Amino acid sequence: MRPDKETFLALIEKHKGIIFKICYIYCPKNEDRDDLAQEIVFNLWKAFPAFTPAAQFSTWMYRIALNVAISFFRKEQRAIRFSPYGKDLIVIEEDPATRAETEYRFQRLQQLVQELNEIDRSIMVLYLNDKTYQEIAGIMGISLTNVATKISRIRQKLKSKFYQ
Amino acid sequence: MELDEFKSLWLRDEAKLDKIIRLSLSTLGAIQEQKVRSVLKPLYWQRAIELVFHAAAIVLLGLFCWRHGGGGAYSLSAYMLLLLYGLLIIHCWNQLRSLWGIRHGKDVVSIQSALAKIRSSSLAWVRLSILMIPAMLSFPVVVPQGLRDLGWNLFGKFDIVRDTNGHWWASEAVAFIILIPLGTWFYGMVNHNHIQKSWVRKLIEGAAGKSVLKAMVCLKELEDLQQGK
Repeated sequence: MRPDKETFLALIEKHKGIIFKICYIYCPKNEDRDDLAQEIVFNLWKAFPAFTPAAQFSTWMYRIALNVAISFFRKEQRAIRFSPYGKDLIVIEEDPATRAETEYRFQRLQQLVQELNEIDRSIMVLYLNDKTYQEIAGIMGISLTNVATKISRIRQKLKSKFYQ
Repeated sequence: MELDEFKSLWLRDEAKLDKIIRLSLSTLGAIQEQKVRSVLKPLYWQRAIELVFHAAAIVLLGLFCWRHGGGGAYSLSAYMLLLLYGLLIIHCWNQLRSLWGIRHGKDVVSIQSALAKIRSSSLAWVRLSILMIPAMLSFPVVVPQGLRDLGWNLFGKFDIVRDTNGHWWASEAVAFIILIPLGTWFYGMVNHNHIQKSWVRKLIEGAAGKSVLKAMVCLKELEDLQQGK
């Protein structure tokens, strides 16, 4: 089937947050993020003829984007290079009195998530994007129990590192 | 900060992420003009051709064994080669299955496992290295005799078993007795299931490289994840 460019672009536009967040978690550096985003879009476009409308686009997109991100990260043997705090990261707007503290804590946790291995990071991307355990299990290809165990372990790992 | 708090901040800041990471959809026009070509296709053909060659070798060796009866120096050497080609066929078949398993939209663990298996393909030769020694001793016995059976007298009257008064066969038999159990054990040990053993890690890294070691570690992690370990 000939892929429809307009439909594809509309779907990408609607779900581009998925690409952004995956790039953000897998590539702490801006320059790598652009390359990864391009690679994800290219692979989505390549795979688009095989997409069946019966399936949920976001689930399909997560599977492809996470696979591309993991492979991209491994292929180049990218070392984790962190940006200095505050330069590249999300700015949290809230009460100025607590903003600095919250911002620091948020960025620290974000950095810890980026330090996880590729598979754990995939699970965290899905968890942070409010996917249910059922959806995470479907995207990752593991059982519901394994998702729960894995998230609990990652939570413990992040907690212990955070308070170190 | 608890993970749930982090999650709510993460979700709240989705809009801001849009501003930080710019995805140029305009480049999609250029991308879609490119011919979509799979990088895995050459690998698929390579493995398919290897499979045909190995299958042909097995058929020829089978015919050789049938012609030379159930025992003797020639058959024993041919059995050794049958074992080697059998393992090579299993390896090729597993690689083809991994390549077939890569389909867009399949779950993350399946695709990453298949990619890790493909990345570690060069490890097959390391795993087979000990079994290759008795197999190499078998080639000079089987090949000239096999060619003679086919009516191609390329090696003249050369017959290593006869010309060495059976000493070649005796050393081959000793190599079989010592190296086949050792080689079989080694073949079973050098894989992702034993990656925690330091000698296995060092051997894989030294013989096949860091990328293969990384692929094996990844394969182990994915298997553990599936088993909930």
